Amino acid sequence: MITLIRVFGKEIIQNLRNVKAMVLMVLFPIILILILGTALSGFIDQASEFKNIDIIYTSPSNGSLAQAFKGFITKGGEMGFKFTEAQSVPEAVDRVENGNYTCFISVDENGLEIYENDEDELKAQLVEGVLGTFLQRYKAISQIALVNPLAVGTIMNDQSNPNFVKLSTLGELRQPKALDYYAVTMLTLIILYSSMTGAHAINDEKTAKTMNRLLSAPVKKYEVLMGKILGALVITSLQVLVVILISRFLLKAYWGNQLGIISLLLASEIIMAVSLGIGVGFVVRNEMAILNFLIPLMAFFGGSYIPLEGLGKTMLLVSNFSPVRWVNKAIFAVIYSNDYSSVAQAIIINLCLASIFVGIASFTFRKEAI
Amino acid sequence: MKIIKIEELVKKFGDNVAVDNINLEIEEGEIFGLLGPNGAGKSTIINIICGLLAMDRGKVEILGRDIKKDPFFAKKNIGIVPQDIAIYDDLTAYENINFFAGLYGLRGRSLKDQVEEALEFVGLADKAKSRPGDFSGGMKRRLNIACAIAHRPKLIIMDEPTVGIDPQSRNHILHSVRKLNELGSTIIYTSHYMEEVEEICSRIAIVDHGKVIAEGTNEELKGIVTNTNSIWITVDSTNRLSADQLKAIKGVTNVEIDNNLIKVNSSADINNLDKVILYFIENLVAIKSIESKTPNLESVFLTLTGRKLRD
Repeated sequence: MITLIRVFGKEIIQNLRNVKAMVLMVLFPIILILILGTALSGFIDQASEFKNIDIIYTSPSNGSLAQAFKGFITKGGEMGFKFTEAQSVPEAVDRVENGNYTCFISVDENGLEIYENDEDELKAQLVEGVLGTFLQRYKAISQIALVNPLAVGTIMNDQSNPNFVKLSTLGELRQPKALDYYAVTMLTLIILYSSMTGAHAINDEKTAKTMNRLLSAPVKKYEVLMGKILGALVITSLQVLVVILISRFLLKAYWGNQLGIISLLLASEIIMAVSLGIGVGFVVRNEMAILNFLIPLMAFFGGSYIPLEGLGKTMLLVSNFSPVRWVNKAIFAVIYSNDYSSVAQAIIINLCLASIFVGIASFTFRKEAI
Repeated sequence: MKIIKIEELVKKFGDNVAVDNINLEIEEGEIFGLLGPNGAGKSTIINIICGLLAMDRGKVEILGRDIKKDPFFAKKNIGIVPQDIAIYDDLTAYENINFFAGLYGLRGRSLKDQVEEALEFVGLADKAKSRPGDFSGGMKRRLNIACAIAHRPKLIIMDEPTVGIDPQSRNHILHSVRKLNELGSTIIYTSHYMEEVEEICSRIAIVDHGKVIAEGTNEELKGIVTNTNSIWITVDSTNRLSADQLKAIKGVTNVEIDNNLIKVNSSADINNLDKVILYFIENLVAIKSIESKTPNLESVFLTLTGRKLRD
């Protein structure tokens, strides 16, 4: 443990003294957020409006949920959604797959299912968000019905206060502007570059010829490795925090109200990126060349430079191989739809990748140092 | 007490046998020299002792304990001064020593005291807060030593510590080696500079192609070549000279022509100086000077291997 702490402390000092790199890691994303957020605002803002959101649905004519769904159609219509009733389920699914509709909602007495078009993910997430709010209200009303069926009629007929069950989430729905989009994607991009911090942690010991001196001391190799990983994690987290604070308070980018969850997502990506750098640093000689190849690829397929919606199914399929894609998707879902379903998935993917990279580093480190 | 005992040590890299059945014993308190040309296997032996390389066969004991069974015990008692300067340019001199010494279990007051002691010892006390980027080559080498000695190891291994530095720093380092030994440390000193090894080592092992080809004190090793006379002749020009013709003279064992300097080794029991000089006269080669050389480790190595240490 002492070795871990000493190595960790050394890494922190060395990184903090590398002022150029520290400033670059903060300035680089901020400048990119400003440039891309301004230059591509027309493209992004148009893509994320509530307009052009077409929903196809099937719903029985009777039933309490069907009745409630009619309320959703009314509310959605006010927000700009267009609804079309389908003749059959296969027809509706087909139309969604062909890109004619953003999603298909199937309603029956047992519940509600939503079938989305992946290419229109951002719009589909907006629909999910509004639908989620609707379902919360419906559930609340159902519970009241169980307790006091007479009260339900009062609630449903109370037009003066349609929000009888106050749902604060409904008012906070918004779409990401270009600046908001790039605040997230440039941050997840710069986290990828922290893999270089990890690679440097190994490479610098080789360059300074200090690795052998380190290993000739009575130290456990895994403590040296963990000290380096933790050092890189803390430094990167510090840089990420500064970028978030600047983008939120200076540039007024929107980060939503769930910074805790978003921090967890970002932390998992930092762990993955640092582990990638350390793993690559151990295995290959020219680690910078490898990382300079991998990072832009992962970033592009993660939607860091432009949203991938609308670039085709193949692009979306390939993008699933980028861990950044999962992180960005989860962050946008949390911020704009209060949807947490992708969070665990993104974190698990990052931690699994990190385990693989750390495993590779550990295995290589166990072999002879020379 | 034997501080190191090496038994039948073998290390191969593919087909290359870097260490070939080496046996060595070093007593506590010695300054033990490991002399040999580049590629002889000196660094490989050192790396095995320090636990940086696994041996293929054999046994190494430090203070009576097998390094395979108790590697941490061995490492705690060793300080290594590597051939390449191994310090962090972005940490101060104090921080460098503090970091490495801390890895050996030193804490608090004792750590602070020993770091300052090490800085004082190598003459860098006034540079404690400076970074190695501002240091000369000699100062970096001294810091390199300080990082190895702060934890007061019983055994200090110095791997070619004077490579590429000025004579003043070199003398400072040799002086430091003697002082460390006086303070109680055993030193293993590796070098391909025989003058240094002759100057400070109490016992020497000559290594070549992974084997110890000779071992003993300075005098014992030179005794190997007391049956050889060595004459150095400086001439105006070597155009009319032939090493083969000189070797053909009875008693001549080796001839080396180095620009205008001819080194002739002959068996001590054959007096052939007159015949050697006659050869020069007959070939109209003007002799500028003649020196009779006493044997040194260079000549020992040459006798044993037919090659120079610095070939």
